[in-house]
Amino acid sequence: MTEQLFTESISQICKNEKEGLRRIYEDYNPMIYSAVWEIVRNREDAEDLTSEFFIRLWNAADTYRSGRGHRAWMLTIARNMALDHLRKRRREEPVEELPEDPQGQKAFDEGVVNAVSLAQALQTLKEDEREIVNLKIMGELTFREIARMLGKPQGTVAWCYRTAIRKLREVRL
Amino acid sequence: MKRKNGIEREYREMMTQAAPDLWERIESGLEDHAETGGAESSHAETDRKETGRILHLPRRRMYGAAAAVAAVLVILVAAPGFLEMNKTGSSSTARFAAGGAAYDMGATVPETTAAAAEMAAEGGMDGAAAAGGAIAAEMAEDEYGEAATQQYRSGDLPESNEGQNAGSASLSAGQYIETDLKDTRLLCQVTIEKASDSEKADGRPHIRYEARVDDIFYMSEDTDTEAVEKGDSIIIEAAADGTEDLQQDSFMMKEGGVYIVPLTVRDGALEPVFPDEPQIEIKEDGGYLFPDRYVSLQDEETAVMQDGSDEGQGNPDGQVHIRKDERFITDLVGLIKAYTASSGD
Repeated sequence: MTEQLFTESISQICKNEKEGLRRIYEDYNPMIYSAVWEIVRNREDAEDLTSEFFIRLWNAADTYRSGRGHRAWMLTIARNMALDHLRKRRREEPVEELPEDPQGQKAFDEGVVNAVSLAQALQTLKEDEREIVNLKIMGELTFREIARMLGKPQGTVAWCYRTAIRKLREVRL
Repeated sequence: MKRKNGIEREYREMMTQAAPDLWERIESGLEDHAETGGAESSHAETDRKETGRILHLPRRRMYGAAAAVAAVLVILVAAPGFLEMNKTGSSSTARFAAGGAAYDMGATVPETTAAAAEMAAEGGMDGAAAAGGAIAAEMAEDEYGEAATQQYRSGDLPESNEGQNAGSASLSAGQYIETDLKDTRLLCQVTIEKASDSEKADGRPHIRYEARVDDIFYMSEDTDTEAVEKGDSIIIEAAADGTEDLQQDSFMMKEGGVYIVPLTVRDGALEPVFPDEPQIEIKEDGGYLFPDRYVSLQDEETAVMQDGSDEGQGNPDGQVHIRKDERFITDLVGLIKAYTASSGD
């Protein structure tokens, strides 16, 4: 979605026209869902947070200022919601839950390396690598935007991304 | 839509398929903005009824309410007329805006949503917006320095759009052999500092070039090339023609030579879009020496070098051409853009 279309959609939301939110949802539901899932690693929580994100977007559309890079803006907010949720969950549930695979698949098994799926290959990446891959591919953010979001040097982010992609390719050879 | 390589495309498809359809649930939680005063409470109730799960909203609401109170206090002190102007403000709104404020402030992640809301409250909405403007300006300032590079990267037509016209007009002529230009992620001028043998996992001979980026003329909004800047040293991997003596390789870029190279990314490495032929070389007199493939760049003033001549780069596969006009780069960029556009990306 272009910045202009996003701004138009936000204007529709401000006029209580659901079509505006619908357009944003259709374009960005996978982006938001996958971004929060990468943090909470729990399907139900990711669904809750994604729903909550879009409801809040509806309620707070008038706070958006165009020209700021809407994808980075949305992802920063979604990511903060997910991190908040994670902190609270950890306080409430001292015993950490085991991470869940996005498609319910088992953890990566070296014994099936020749037939490894992408979901399994992703399990070989570190957490920050997975998040950078997600922000890059699903968020279509620049390395600079990701670096700003994660508070890491741009070169580190670029290097981390390339390393992750290389790992995925190698694992799947 | 940007072009993605195999892993990226597969990742995107996987994540898209994994995302559940939540629209009905979201839509059921929407209320007209004029009624948002109690909206969130009803959202939570709705979600509990529909899913049987707890959204953890009550605690957030506590934080949100506290933050909203704090925000209102600050605002009341700073701007008495605010309440008249913002009747739709809610705790949800404050927290959402807080996320944006965090983004404006360099994506500092607040410890809690309450802290985030406080950040927004401290800055006020206008403050957040002002910060956003500064960030936007900074973000709009391209990472690659020069205005020309910004222009190319932003997708704007060159000031003289002759190149675009040339590219568009001549697509039919070169579409079968130039079409791979659509894969160009980076078009830059490089000076070759070192060339050495390399062997990839596939066992095929490769040449590994260490090159200095002298200038960048085109850059796609790409995954792997964004970090490249003028003055950087980059590694270019190119297929060798199999000649045992590297110096006899007919496609090899010479150490110290200056070239214009359309680059793509394959297997995570920068590689010439056309690896199996000579690259465009800049001669000492400023002329651009280019192989047959670029048929769209050949015009009436283009000189033809003899096959295998000293200036002909020894290209065994055809003629080599030379142009000395200043429009050459503009035309080449136009051609790349035209093929990229025609590929539907």
